[in-house]
Formats: sequence, structure tokens, C-alpha cells
Amino acid sequence: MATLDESPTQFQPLDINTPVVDRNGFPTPVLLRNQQSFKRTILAQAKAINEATGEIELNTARIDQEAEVRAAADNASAILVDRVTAEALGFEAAILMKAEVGINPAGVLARYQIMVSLDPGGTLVNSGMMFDVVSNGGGGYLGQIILDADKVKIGRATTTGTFPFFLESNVLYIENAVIKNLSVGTNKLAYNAATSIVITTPGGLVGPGGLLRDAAIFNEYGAVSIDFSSFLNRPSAGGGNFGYLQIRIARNASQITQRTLFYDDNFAYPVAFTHVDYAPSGLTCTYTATLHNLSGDGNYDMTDSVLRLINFKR
Amino acid sequence: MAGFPFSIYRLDTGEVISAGTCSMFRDVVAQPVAANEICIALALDPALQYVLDGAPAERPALLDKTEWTLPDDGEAVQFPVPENTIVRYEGEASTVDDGAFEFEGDTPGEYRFSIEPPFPYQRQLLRIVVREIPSN
Repeated sequence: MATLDESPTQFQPLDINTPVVDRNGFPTPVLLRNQQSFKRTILAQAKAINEATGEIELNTARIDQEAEVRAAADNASAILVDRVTAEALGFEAAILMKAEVGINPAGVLARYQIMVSLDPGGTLVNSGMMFDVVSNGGGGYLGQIILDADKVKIGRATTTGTFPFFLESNVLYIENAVIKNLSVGTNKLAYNAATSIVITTPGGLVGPGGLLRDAAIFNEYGAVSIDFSSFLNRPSAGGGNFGYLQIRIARNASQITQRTLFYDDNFAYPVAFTHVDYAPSGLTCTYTATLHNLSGDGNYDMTDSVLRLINFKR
Repeated sequence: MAGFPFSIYRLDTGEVISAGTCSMFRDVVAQPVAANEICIALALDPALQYVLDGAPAERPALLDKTEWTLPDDGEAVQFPVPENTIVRYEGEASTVDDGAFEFEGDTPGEYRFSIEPPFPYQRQLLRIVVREIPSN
């Protein structure tokens, strides 16, 4: 059974006794209303509305403040709304601050809302923040903060500073971040994420039959990308010094791929290629790149060979 | 790439035959080494460094002067080189067997040579510019 208070609840009107004048100093029409109500039923309820309005021709400025409390045998609620609006030239701008608490046997409802909006004539643009704690009986969330905006910036608002956290057009930009235990769940990166990398420095001056470069990497899971680059020096001059050479890539002494190239004593050129090796997981793989002569005099050499190994997720 | 550097050098000569960087240390200790080689967790530049008496050292440079202009610097460029020094010009290699590099040029232009003495000398680039002499 609800406990009723028979004395009317008193609400003080807004202090807006200061005359409102327009830009020419003429007083503007002001509407001031203060309403209190009390009903003695099984529901105890009080409501107060303070409203100040200034109007000149089609331009209107208004401040509304509403307060409402209700109590019943199985419920209690309180609502507070502050609304500031202005209309002119077809534009309507508003600032809304709202609070709401509610308790009933099913749970609780506590909300707050700060919202600014502009309607420049047909298209409503708003930005704001909402806090929510919805009852567990209401099927909703217990605690939530919503930033409703097309842009969200976090940082020091200086003229030269940048915002390290920046949300725009549903894309989140992070300028600097220290992330502990990052988990990336989309296949944009997850499938190609590198577990480890091994890169050699350029080196070696190798003729046919020589070892161009070798390096090892532990294949934790997935595939190993083998990127090889080198430079074929101009072969020694000679009538028969042209033909084919071959670069062979081996994993743990077993050849996995090769590239056949043409050489001639008239030119030199860089060499680069990539091969993906689906090596067994949990295995240390030693990759070697060797140079072999297939035909011709074979008076050439390669230099500045680089081997890069990348262990990808897959 | 920030990570763990490694260098592999020959125990008998100190020549750095391979170097690089690994993102994980487990790959440093997995690098292939032969019986006369050793892998250390140190960044060495094979072109400029080697290991001497167990410590990194600079590979000696054969040439003090690598930029020449003729005839301002002389009528010719000449300096001694070790036997079996390889000289490359426009990619073509020749082996010096008389103990000296000699260049005499009267055709104006720029000439670039790669001088590759035997280890432990560095490979160096030699640039010679033959300046046009105005006729009187």
C-alpha cells in the first residue's frame, strides 16, 4: 500500500524575472507558466512545468523545464527534462537534458541523456550522449554509455594538436596506441598476419654452384613466404657466354621451387621473386637459395642477395 | 624491423658470411651454421665488418681516395692492389694479376669501377671523371 502525502508538493518557478528584450531593446512577449498537481488516488503524483518563451514574428526561443515524480504501490519513478529550443528562418535547434529513474519489482531503470540537435529544414542532425542502466527484467543491458555522433574525438583540443582517437564515418582512427594482447578478428589481417620474420642483410658474391643465401625460421603455424632478391652482374665477355641459369630454393635440403633465367654477356639485371611454402607446423625450416648454371659458359656471378622469410598465419 | 640481430662468421677468417634480423629470438638460435662457423646475436655489416680476435673489426679499405678527376689529379689513376683483385666495369669482371690498377683515359666522361680485393678488404666503388680539356 502506498504512503500518501496530502500536502501539495511545492515547486518554485524558474527565475526568469529579468526582462527579455530583442536586439532593439524592446521587451519581447514572455509566457510564464508554473503548474503543480497532486492527485490522491492509489497513485501519488506530482508534476511541475516551468516554461519561458520569447517570440518575435516567426522566431521563437523557449526554455522548458519539467519535473515529474510518481509513486505507486508497485512502482516509483522520477523524470526531469530540461529543453532549450530556438526556431528561426526555418531552422530549429534544441538542447535536451533528461534524467529518468524508475524502480519496479522487475528491476531498475536509470537513464540520462544529453542531446543537441539541429533541424535545418527536413534533415535532423543530432549528437549526444546517453547513459543507460536498464532492468534485468526489461531484457536490456545493465549499464551502457552511447555516444551518438558522426564524429568522436578524444584528445586535447588545441589548434595544433592531433586527436589520437578519432571516429569519423563509422571508421575508427587511432593515431597512437599501446595495446596489450591484441586480437584481430577479421580476415583482412588475421589470415595474413605475420607471426615472425627473418631478414638477411645483402651479401655474397657467388658464382654458379654457390650458396646465395640461407636463413632459418620456425614455422609455428601456416605458411612461410620466401622472398628472394639479388643482382646478376654482367657476365664476362665471351662468344659462348650466354645461356640459362637457375636459382633453386630448398627447405631443409629438399628443393621446393626454382626459377630459370637467361643470361648474356650483354646485360645485367636484378632478380626478385616470392614463393609461399606450406611447411609443416612446429618445424624449424632452413631455406637455402643456390645458383646453378644450366647452359653456356657460365662466367657470371650474383651479388647482394637477400633472403626474407615471413611466417604467415595461413 | 625491430627485433633480434644475428651474424654468422667463419672461425678461421672472421668473415661474416651472413647477417640479418629475426622478429623472434628463437629464430636467431635456429640459423644454419657449418662446422667452422658461429652465430652471434650481434648486428654486423658483412660488407664493412669482420671478426678479428673474437671482436668486431672494420674491414680495411684499400683505397683512401675513391673520387678522381683527370687531368686535375694527374695524368692517370694508378695504385697497387692485391693479387686476384676483381675489377668490375659496367658489370663485366676482370681479375688483376699484375698487382696494380691503372687507368689512363683521354675520352671525357665518367667511369665507375667496383674494386673487389680479396678478403678482408672491403669492396669499394671508384669514380673517375675525365674532364674535357678545351682546345687552344
